[in-house]
Amino acid sequence: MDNKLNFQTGVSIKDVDVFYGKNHVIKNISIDIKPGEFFTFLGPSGCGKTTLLRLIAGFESASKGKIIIGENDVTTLPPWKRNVGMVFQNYALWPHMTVLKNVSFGLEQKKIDKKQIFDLVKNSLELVGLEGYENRRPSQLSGGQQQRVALARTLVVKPTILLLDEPLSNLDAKLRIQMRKDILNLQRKVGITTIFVTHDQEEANVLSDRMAIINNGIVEQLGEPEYLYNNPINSFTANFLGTTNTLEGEVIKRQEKLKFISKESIEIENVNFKEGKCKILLRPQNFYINNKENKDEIIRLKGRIVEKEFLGNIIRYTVNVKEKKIFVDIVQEYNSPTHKIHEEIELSFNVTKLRFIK
Amino acid sequence: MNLRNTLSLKVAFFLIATFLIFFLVIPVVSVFYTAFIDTYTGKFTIVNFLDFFKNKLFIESFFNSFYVAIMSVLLASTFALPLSYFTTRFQFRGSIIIQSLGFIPLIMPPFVGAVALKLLFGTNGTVNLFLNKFMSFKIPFMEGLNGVIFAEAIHYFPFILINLVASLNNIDKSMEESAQNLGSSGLNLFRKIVLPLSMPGYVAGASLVFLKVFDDLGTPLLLDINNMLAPQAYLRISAIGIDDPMGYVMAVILILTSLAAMWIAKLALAGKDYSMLQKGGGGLAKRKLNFTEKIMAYGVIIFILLIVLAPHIGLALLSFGTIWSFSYFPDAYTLNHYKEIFETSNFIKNTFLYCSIAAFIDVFLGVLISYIVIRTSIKWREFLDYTAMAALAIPGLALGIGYLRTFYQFNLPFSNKPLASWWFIIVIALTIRRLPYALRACNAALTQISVYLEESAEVLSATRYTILKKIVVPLMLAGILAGFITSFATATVELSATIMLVSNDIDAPLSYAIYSYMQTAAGRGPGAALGVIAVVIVGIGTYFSQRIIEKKQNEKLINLN
Repeated sequence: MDNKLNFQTGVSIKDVDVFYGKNHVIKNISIDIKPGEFFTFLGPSGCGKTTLLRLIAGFESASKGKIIIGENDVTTLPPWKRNVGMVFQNYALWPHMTVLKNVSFGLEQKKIDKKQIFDLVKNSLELVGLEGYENRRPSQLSGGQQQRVALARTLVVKPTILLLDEPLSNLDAKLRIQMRKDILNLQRKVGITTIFVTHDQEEANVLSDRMAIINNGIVEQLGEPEYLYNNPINSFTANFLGTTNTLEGEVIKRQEKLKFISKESIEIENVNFKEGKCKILLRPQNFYINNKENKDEIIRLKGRIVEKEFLGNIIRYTVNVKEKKIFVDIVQEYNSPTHKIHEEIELSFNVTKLRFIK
Repeated sequence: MNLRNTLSLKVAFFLIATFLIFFLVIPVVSVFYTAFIDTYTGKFTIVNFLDFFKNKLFIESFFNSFYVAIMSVLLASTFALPLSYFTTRFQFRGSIIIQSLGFIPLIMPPFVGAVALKLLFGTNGTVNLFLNKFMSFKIPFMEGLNGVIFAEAIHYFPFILINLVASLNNIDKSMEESAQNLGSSGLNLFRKIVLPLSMPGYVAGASLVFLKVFDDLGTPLLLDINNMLAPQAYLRISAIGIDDPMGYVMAVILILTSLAAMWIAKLALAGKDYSMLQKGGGGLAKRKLNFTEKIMAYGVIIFILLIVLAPHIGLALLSFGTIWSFSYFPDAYTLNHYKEIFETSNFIKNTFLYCSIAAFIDVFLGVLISYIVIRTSIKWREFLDYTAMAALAIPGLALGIGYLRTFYQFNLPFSNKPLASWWFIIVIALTIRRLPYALRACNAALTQISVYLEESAEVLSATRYTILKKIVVPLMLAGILAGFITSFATATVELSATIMLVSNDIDAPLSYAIYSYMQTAAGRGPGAALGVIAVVIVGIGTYFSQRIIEKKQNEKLINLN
């Protein structure tokens, strides 16, 4: 049987507001998710990402705005009439039912005949690699297997879209990596529009076609993972998608040249940004220590190492430049020399790697 | 080798084991022994059981006991189900009232309120007089077995309520939401998901009600119902004597039925501990009631509340009333009943004496047993825990019969009176009966104390005795106190073992006095007054033990000593 969907459905969240009592948890969010896309809501806990997902499933109601799935405005529909598939964080398998009963539940609700249910369930368990587990109880399954059953139970009813609420958070580190590959393969195979909620940027980066960084009930930035990493528009996005050094200061014009001066009075010449207050973002891996290469766009700063952390593949130095602590990541190669704490060093970086934000 | 297996703890283990063997194992074994032994030849026989099943009255009693127990469970369920539904599904203030109802069976056992119920719901009681006058019909609430069922259900339904509410609250919201997500709602969702998941709680509560009702002696006796198993066993022993095997046969049947009910409940619950799988918790989604729903909900609650509080109201009226017969309420009110019981009786004094000694021994044994079982590796240590807990499955009546059988042959030194008729034997019976409560409290308290706290005293070379006295007991104090109060309060209203062991009125405790007063019309007033006092004692006790449990983590309490 072909598991590929016949048609794919998009989702539109339009000007949605949600209040819990006086708490404004979703603040006028609008997102368009394309048919067939793997889309992620990424953000810290309490940012509103799960609320947004539950809104699409129908478990929360918006104070204002619309939820449109495909062509249909589902804003006022109860969850059981939306035909949206959702996998819960704790999988929510019913402990009093076998795997077979769990997976066939949704089909029985649709009054499909017994013979056909059996075939569909079998096919769907095959899809997640759990054929032969029909008569097990959820308590007899490992975390990863429960996860697969939850996926099978959700996909077997052919929902229009698939919602995944932090489905990997209850698994151990190794299994998490395996499962996220499996989820992605499954999504590509079935072709279903998928919305994934997580607080883990690595997960989001690996899985998503596009993602929305959510914080405090608003979308900070939306786009493809790589683009967001390299072009954050604010320090929240920059910091959430990996460690970043942020320098606050202003750009001034001196002798026809633009120059940045941070509040710790670190000076960077020849910058390409308009005059006025701004912030500079620079990733730790863009620095070199005591590099002799000589080019016009290379900027040099004197500093002193105050901390050193061995992280395996890299060594992270904390370097004091004037009063500013700057993180510097140096790739650790076999037998390569390292620097000592209190050592005076020269940092260098290419000016083209700087990102300016307001 | 566990270093905590000190000689003194081994001696304690030995002494406690001897105590349990002597006062629990041997009496119960003697009941079985007598039931299965031919009185004349001394050989093993089942003829006594055959005789039992040949006797029409006994068969009838046997089935009546089953009928009453099952009907009580059903009636109790009809009280408990709507109430548990309201508290778990809706946000409204009535929940507090419903939760408070949970304490009713602890505060007042059914036999205390039985007579009062008769005056309110009997053929010529308040309700039926009223119905007859305005609607020309009567409802036989209290006729025959109905009366027992009604009284038992009113008192014991909270056991179902508490367990059901707990298990409904344990159901994770995602259980419900995932079903909604797959297209299920309303009754379908309730039937397929909510109901099966709440079954373990219901079964636990229902089996407890069944057990309590099946074993209950006081309620049928006070309502003049003799054709049930427990009253038959009692009458047999008290009227014919302790050598007649039939009383023992019935005691054996009571014990076996208790065990069977517990076993069936255990089977029904096997593999259904759903709580482990459901992380997060939070219970089912609750919604607010609209105005009409609110009125209906409060209507149901007030109706059930009136029924449930009827025994208390009736008892209070009875204790202050002069004459109450064929009338809605007593003719006039007086304080004489209270005066009488305070002037003439030593029941209250006896009760305080017996129950405080029993509760004290209970917590003393409780601390030692839990310490020996949890912290040492002394061989056979689990024997203490299992045996002490097994007392839960032994009906009070059967224990009382066993005591009579075993200790009539032992004479007290100097007085040459049998041990079985010495007042202290009542204390020991109460101790054994309430030991499981104290032990449970002590176990809970000890498991919460990290073993490191002891080990840090050990490295400072403290002796075992010092560690127990200065570290373990002070930290367990709140639990011990809660255990003491629970044992004490519930012992004050224990009747079924006591009734077998009271040999004269001077030694009788409160519960026995209520029972004997209530036998006569003239004694009802003072009996009710004693009943009110019992309710007040237990009520205060329950209140404080709850307060202590709630404040268990509070450091102040631990420093109180």
